[in-house]
Amino acid sequence: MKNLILGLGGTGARIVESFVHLCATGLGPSRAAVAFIDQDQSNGNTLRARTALARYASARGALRALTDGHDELGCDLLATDLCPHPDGRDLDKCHWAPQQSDASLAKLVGYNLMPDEARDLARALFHRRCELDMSLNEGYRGRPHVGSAALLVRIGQDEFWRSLEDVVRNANEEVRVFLCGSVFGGTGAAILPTLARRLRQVAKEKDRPLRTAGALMLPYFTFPPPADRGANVSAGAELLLQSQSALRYYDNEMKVGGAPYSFDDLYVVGWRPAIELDYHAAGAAKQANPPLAPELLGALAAAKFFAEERPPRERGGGDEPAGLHIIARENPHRLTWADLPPVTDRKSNRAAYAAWLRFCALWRFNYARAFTPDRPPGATEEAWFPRLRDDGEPDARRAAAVSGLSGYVSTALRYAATMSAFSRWGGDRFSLFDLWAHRPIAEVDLGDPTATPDLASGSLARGLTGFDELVRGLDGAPDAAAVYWAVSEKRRTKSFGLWPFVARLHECAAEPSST
Amino acid sequence: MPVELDLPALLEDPGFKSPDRGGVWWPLDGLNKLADALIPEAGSMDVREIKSVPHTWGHVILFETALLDEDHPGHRDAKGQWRALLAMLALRNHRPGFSVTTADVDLDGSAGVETDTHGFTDVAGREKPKSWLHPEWTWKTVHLLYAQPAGPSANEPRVLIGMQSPSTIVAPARDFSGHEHLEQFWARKDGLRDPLCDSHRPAALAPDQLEVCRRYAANLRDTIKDAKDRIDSGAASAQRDAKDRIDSGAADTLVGLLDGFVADLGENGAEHHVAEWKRQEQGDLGAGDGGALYQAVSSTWVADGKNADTTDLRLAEIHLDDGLILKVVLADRGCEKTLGKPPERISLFGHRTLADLPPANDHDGPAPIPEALRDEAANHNVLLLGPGDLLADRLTELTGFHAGAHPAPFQRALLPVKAAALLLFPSLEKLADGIHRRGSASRPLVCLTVTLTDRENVPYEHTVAREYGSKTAETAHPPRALAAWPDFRAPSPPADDGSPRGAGTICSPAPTSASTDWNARPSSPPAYRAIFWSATSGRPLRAGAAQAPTAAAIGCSNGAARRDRGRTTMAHGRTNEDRAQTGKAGSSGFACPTCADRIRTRRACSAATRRSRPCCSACRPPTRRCTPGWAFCPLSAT
Repeated sequence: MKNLILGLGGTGARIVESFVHLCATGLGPSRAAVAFIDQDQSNGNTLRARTALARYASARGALRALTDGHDELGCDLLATDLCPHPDGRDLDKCHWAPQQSDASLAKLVGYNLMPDEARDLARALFHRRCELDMSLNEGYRGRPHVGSAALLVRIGQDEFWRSLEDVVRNANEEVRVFLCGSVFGGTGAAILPTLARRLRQVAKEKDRPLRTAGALMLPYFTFPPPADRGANVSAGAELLLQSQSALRYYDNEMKVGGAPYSFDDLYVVGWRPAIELDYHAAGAAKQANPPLAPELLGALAAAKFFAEERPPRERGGGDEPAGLHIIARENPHRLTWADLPPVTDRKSNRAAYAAWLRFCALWRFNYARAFTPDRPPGATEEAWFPRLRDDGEPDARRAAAVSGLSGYVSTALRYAATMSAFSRWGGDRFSLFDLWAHRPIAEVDLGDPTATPDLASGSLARGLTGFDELVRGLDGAPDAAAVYWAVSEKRRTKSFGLWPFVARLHECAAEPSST
Repeated sequence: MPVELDLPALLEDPGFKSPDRGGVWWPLDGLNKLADALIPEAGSMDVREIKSVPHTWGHVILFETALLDEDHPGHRDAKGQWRALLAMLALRNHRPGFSVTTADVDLDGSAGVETDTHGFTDVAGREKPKSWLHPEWTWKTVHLLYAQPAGPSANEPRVLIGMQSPSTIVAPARDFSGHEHLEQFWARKDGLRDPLCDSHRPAALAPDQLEVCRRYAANLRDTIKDAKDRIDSGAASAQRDAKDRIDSGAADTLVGLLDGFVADLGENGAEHHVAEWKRQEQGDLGAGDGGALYQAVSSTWVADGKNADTTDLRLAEIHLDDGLILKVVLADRGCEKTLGKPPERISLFGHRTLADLPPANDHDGPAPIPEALRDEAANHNVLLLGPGDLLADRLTELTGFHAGAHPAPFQRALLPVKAAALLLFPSLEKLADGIHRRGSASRPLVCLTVTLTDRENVPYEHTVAREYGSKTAETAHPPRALAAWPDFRAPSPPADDGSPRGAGTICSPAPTSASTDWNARPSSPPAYRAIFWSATSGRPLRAGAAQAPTAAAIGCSNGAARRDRGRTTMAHGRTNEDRAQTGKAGSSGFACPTCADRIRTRRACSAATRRSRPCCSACRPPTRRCTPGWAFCPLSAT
């Protein structure tokens, strides 16, 4: 089975970012290709998601290069083989901006060269000045019908587009495609149904098995102007109106258009009340919003979609209307582990995320020091340290793995800190992101969503006394000392080297029930 | 235990089953239900501001959705645009000020029509909508609609106004540039608006235009109903095959919308006054795809013209000797208050409305009726009378003068009415009852209450008023041997002595034979005659002979056609007894259909929501190299 996840627009990119980290926890599929489609090349969300993917792939690649002979470890950390689409290596190619610079829909369709009637048909469907002549450099600016037409005009003309179709066209096994985007924006909203429809057409034409699902994000965050909250309400109402119309379109498309249906499953996620981000922050303009809790739900939906075992797909697929899914939390003011939908029966979300985040914290704030030039004196005298020595493990390769892992861990910790810090709703006093805490990791400036959290500012940087406060809702999980005790414990194993140590640390950081 | 949906704010009762616990994906049985529940207080908004349909045909799809869903925030706007387009099609051959042309775009690429080679038509064809009302009318060809301006803007290029839509009959164009050249009140630079109820500017359709639109919409409605009934009954095999592709619900909704349009048009329509209408199959809206519905779209309605004109301001009707009927119409901007409607919706005559009159000037008295408008009215057999034609230009008080038969406030004054006012009262007593004096002694206000009837023969009492100031009120000594007319006694005014006095109360030296008793009121109305002077020449045009009591013999100054006839005519005012027979009104007004109270005008009727373990002391890693102060002991640094 081939899995492909596409982040469409800024919101879609953030869901993919969450999916990358979800894969690091071991909840993801065994393998998945990742791509981003965003007309805005400088979109901060997409850049951050690409960075996460790059560091994940780098860390996993370097660590897995050390796993020869260690297959018995069965570590879930960085389990998914995530690779950029289309070629599996080049991260630059996995971000597709459909239109060239200075493009407009009018230029794309050769408006000035069209016959009068065709031009008038274009004007019957698009406003000349506001839509046909609109620059597409920074996306579709909340006009997804413009984006849809601009995309379809490029069918067959672009290598990336063909590569997406080729995934379906050349498939000898079932292909699962998960599309992430919002219904209220421009780029993601335009591409999501258009791409799904086109891929289904290809599957039908070539008689290939395809399953398609999507995370439809409804409004879940807002930018409140502090001095005029009334105006914010108006802006929020408009986003809801746009979402309402889009949902009606999706519904009508299924009812009137009939088979083949574009989607097999649609996961609809929003948030009430909307999570407020500082309107005056540069993030509003740079499209670099922090990762937020609802995106985690989108990522979990993708993981579920890839993990589900279903009967063999009818050729082409799309014979049944999409299954529609919504989700709820038990308490409007809290988000707890019980509110996250399970991906598999094999492992709980809490266990997976707790092991991942605790490992990252322990690595970053304690054990990684052993691999730095200025490592603490006596490090080599530690009980666990000699087990890192593997005569078959070249120093260079080990150094690369350490570097890769440290790079990813820093990215993951910043992701976790910002998600925890910014996922606030309904006023700080009442809402609680009750999955993990950001203060042990870093202090986060809530007034600047674009700022990179300083990992030296968290309490863990000053000592691991706050380690137990990192992940919430854990009972009986070992504290940092217990983990230290466990990794130092002499074990009957033939596995020496960095990878066995990482696996052991990850194992010890987990809840006892999950180890 | 209630849970909190991870969704935006929803209605308290969202209309779908919510999850019974958190943290599980829960099935939803329709995105439309979620859409309906999304916004607790969705206000009405311009449908063009909604841009979130991710489809090349998103504009058309959104328009269809908004039009067919009365709860959609864009419904009102979509309905207004839809009505405007239908009205433009209906009126394209009926004094519209524009013509409608079409251009076809072949979306299937099978009709040999030239298409662009740059992909847009190809994309539009591949993505074309999938819904239509009638199997004989599909999206394989799009008929674009253009309006070619007439009049002063005739040299402007044609304006794209929309397209024929197999799903909604018509759909507006997304780009509405050029609409400002149409000079139609419902087509403006920001797009089309409902021709009947535009919140930005009261709209107007003349009565005959209303009737054309009403018949056009009714024909469309009946055609859709008939087609749906035949398909539902399986009458035609070809249609049976296509039955699955017809959105029956949408057809019903569209019929309902057309019903509403017809009703709104009928309420204001001129049906009672239109003699004969003919439906014409024009076939001028493109090649078409055939089918009854398409024929209905391309048809038009034409009146025979003889009797099509009507008015909401009829004062009287004068039956001319040659069989023609001359309507006397009150041209007073103040009538909008009396009728409780915007001036654009009050018919003066033909396609003229009260809005065509110059606005009243409070300082200079009633604005004169433009002469061109008087001439245009004459060609419609309409005599326009404005306030300036009814009340005298000056209020003249006469010292030492007393006319006991005059209404009390005017017993020492010349009666400040012009001769034309005599046309409007069945008797002199009624005239006396209808004229009042108010205001202060220095600024007297003279009010003349007349009865006018609208197109549905509903009578309204309307008061024409004029304030007299220092320049227009005068006190004079009566000349010797004064004769004032009407004096409610003399059968006729004094003979014309040729002096340019203008139409109005006539004051002249008394007839030599006068034995005037100014205090006596005649027991029966005398016969009299009124003389009209041309408003421009100041000369009397014609005088007719007295005919009978309560009759006025007039000559008409309005237009050449009338001048040529040179005949004496009769005018009859309606009496209260006549009104009583209609059961609608008397001098105290008419019965309100809602509250049953007797009210004076329609306008007056308003009846009706840790574990923290001391590591360094307690932690004992089982190693021979274990020494205090381990570098990596998590708590060693603390």
